[in-house]
Amino acid sequence: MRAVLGKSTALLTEIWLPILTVVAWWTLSSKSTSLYFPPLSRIISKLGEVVTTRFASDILPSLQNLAAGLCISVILGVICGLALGLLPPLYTAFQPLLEFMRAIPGVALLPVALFMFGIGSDMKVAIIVFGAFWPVLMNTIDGIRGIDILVKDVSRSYNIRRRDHLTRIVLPAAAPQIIAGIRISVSLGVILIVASEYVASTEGIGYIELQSARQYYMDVMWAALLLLGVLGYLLNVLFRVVEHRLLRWHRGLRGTDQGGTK
Amino acid sequence: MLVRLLHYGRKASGVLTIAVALAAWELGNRSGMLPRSMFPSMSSTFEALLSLMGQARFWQALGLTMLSWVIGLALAAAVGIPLGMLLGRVGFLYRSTRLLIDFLSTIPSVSVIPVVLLLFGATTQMKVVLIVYGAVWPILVQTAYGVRDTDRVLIDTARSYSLSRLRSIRYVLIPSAMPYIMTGVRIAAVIGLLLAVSSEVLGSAPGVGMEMVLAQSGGALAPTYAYVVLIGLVGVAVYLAFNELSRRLLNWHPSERGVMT
Amino acid sequence: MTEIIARGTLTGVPALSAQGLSKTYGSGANARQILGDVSFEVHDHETVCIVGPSGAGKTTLLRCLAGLMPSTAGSVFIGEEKVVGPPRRMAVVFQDYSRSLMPWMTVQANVELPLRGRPGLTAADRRERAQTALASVGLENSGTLHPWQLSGGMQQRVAIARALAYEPDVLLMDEPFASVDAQTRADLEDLTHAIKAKYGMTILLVTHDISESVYLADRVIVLSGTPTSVTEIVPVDLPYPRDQVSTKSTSEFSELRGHILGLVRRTQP
Repeated sequence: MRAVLGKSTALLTEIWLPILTVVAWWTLSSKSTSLYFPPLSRIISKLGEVVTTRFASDILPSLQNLAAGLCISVILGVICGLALGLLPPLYTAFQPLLEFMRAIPGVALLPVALFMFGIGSDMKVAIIVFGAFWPVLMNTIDGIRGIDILVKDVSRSYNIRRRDHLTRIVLPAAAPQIIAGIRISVSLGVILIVASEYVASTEGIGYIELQSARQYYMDVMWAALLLLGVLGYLLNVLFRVVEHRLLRWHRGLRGTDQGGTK
Repeated sequence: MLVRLLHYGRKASGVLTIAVALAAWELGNRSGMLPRSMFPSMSSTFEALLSLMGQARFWQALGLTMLSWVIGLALAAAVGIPLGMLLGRVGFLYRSTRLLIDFLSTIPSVSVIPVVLLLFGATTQMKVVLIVYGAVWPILVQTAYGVRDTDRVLIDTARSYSLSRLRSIRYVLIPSAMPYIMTGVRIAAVIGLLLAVSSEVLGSAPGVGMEMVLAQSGGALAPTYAYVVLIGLVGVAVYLAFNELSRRLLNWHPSERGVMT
Repeated sequence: MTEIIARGTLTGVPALSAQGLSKTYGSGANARQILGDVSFEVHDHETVCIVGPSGAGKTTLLRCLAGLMPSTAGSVFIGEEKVVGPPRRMAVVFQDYSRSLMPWMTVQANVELPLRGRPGLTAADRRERAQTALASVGLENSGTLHPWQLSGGMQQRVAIARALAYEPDVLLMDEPFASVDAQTRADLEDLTHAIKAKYGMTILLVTHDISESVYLADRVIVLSGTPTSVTEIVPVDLPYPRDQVSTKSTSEFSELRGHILGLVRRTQP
């Protein structure tokens, strides 16, 4: 009984403010005649309209490009990260070059990507890969370099075969770092897909948002922005679930899950 | 002797790799392996960069970019750190705002550009608002985590020596949360730079990003790439500066001291 | 088991020997010699303990013996085989169990890991062998748990089971019981006697606890401070089976302990 009560109070503290915010927005904007801030009710109905009528034409392409870009980034990042993490001389040789390349914000490459790929999906995927590849790469390298020397000693002294060393020791040991990197990549990927849809594009959620802003369809613009927010949030939640599953041992090891990074 | 030689060897290998990459770029271009319609040669890119650096317009643009970044980052820190400490100290506030902050911080920050563009136009003010919006979340969230993670023993120690509230914030809470705060600020600095450039590339606000778009739309290959190189260099400078800053501020912390085993 | 005995008695070659082992870190002005000319032999089925003052290069010595680190001079032999890398016939139990077991694997998978890819061993054999090893350390029911769900003493038992499943001729143990409480420590010491009686392998155990060394060993090698060398090799003729109470209360035990303590104290840097 007490536990149930405790749980419901905990839930209540979590959700009262979000609910209050939505209610306040709803009532305060209900009679709004401002061009920029249309009533929330209208934004929501436009959101429904966008989701139903433009799913195949705009939302799906956004998601497809994002998925393609992220998959390539993760595969490439982990493979290159393994090579650089396991071969220290290679890492020291490439480190300055990598630090420079990664310091270029992905959006700054949009003009260059236009030169290279023109307008279209290729350009968008390329931009995502260029931006989202680095966190995976760098975290994979860090994860591997940070593997406890004792773990390496165990692997060597028990003559664990190369394949098992890689798949059962190195990758799992570096997994918390790799996953943290992928998580950064996902949020960068969302930013970059939107950015690439702003520039010379004829489809995508970002395109809807910018077009409606240019034509002063404020309700549609807010709806698209809300959609992007929900999308980003859902991706984050989805990712947390995957992480939770995959890294059960890591939390067990640390006792409690605190989050945050030093 | 050998150790020192190895040390230089390591540095040299990094420099060598960059030199080889640059040479490959130049050779690939001259031999036609890299299509000339897409890539300028390395030499012409650096020539373009040099000639840009001789123009007042270029420095003005760079100044505007960095100015909006500095102001935006400073404002984000000024808002994020105190608010983060408050949320970290008051459990009820922390739990109440968690979902809202979670949602707001996962909205891809560039998608706010059309909104701020409408409200403020293509101005430095617009850029600053955008940067503050994007950069405040990591600082806020990390500060709150840091404060919550403060060792109970430290807090109890402060209590048992009856340190005043202000003193225990100044001497216990802030220093022990510092590693987290610095991480937040470092992330925010990178996001800030990304947003400064984004607002210029996507929203045509004045700055290096806009200059780059102008060069691109004029079909000027070499200057476009020169801007990319420049922005990369600025990114490296920001990264190094913040590393140095956290090294100085956190000289007591194991991650900076180098852990002894 | 009988096969091992036969080979040992026939050839008379020691199970493990160190010959003129030395190790220097760094070079020139920064050079620091940790091991200086360490030589000893461990015979088949013997349990030998290495003790020495803290700061003596015990861990360095063990890493050299295990083939994890090349020595600057001298060599290590397992039987007649010179050690150049981690030898297949040797297993190591490390001090820090929380780091030496893979936290992402179950206890069972941890024990099975070194057996993977071993020719002639099917998955079923592997499972069975791991279960037998776990049963030998009293953990037959913990295979599905993760190491971090176990107490420290139980984790070290898992590490010992992993070494047993590996079926080594020589078992190296690096301060294996230094990180557990006194009661657990006594239990693990008795476990060491029990697995020794059951498996009969040669054991070389590094410790800083002099009572432990006398209680466990047939001979105790006393090391000096850095650069480390062998001060004396003390034979321990206490009868088996040994027991925490009766063995430790004999006058022979106290005498030996006093003698070794004196040696260690004298050589303290």
